[in-house]
Amino acid sequence: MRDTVPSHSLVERLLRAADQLPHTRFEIFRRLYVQGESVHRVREDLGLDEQQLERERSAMLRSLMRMS
Amino acid sequence: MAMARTTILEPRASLVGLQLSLFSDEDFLHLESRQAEQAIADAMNAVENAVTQKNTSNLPPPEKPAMRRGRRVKEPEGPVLQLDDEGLQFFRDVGCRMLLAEMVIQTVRDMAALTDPERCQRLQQLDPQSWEELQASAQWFDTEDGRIAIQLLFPEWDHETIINRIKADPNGVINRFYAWASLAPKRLSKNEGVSGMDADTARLIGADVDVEDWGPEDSVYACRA
Repeated sequence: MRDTVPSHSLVERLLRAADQLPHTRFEIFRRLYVQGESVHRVREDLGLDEQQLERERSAMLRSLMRMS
Repeated sequence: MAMARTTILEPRASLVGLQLSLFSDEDFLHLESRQAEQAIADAMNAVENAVTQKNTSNLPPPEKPAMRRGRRVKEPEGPVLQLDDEGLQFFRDVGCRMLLAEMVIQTVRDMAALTDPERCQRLQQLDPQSWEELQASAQWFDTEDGRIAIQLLFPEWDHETIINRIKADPNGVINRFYAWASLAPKRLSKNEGVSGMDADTARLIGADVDVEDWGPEDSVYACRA
C-alpha cells in the first residue's frame, strides 16, 4: 500500500506555485482548495459566468502543472 | 467531441468522478463487478474520511506555513505564502487531493484535445500561447508530479498501468468522466444510495439538487451507457 497523504514537499511546491498565479486564478485556487468553498459561491463572488470560471480554472491548473 | 462540453463540478465531486470514471469500467482494470463495487465504495470512503477525519494525517506540521487562509501575505524573507493551521490542514488533507484530481482531469482533457488535428491547427494559429500550455499540460504524466498525483489518487494500483491506459485512450477516459459528470447532480442528490451513496455522502461531494424521481435502477453504473 503506497502513501495516500500528499508529502510535505508536494504540498509546499503547490502552494508556492499558487502564489505565482495572477489574482483571479489565485482566488479560485484559494477559495476552492484552501477555503473549501463551493463552485457556485466562487463564481458569484468573483463575478464570473460558468464558462469564464471554467477557462480560468483550466488555466490555473495548467499553470500549477507547469510551475510546481 | 467531448472537448466542446463545459463541465463545472465541485472539486470533491471531481475527485470522486475521476475515481469512478476509472474504476467503473471492468475492462479498464479487469475488475470483476464485485471488485469494481468495492473499489467505488473505497473511493467514496477515502473522500469521506479525508473530509470528516481531518486529524488523521501523520505528516508533521510544515516548518514554514505557506498561505494564510483568507488573504495573501507577502513576507520579506523566505516563503511568500502563509497559511494558518486550519487552512493548511484542510489543504493537506482534502484540498490537495481535490486539486491533484482536477489536474489529472485537465491533463486527460488536454491529451484528448490533442487527438483532434483540426482543433490543434486552429489553436496553434489563433492562440500560440494556449497551444503551448495545452501541449505542456498533456505531457504532465511524464513528470514526477504527474506520477505522484496518480499514485496518491490510486494508491492500490500500479501508476504506470493507469497512465498507459489513459495515454492509450484519453478520449475514452474523459468521455466516461463527462458521462459521469452529466449524471452527477441527479445521482449525487439521491437520498438513499446505490453503492453506498447516501445523503451525507451526496452533501459531502457538493450535491445541492433535490431530485424526487430517483429510481432504484439509477446507479453509478449508468455512466457506462
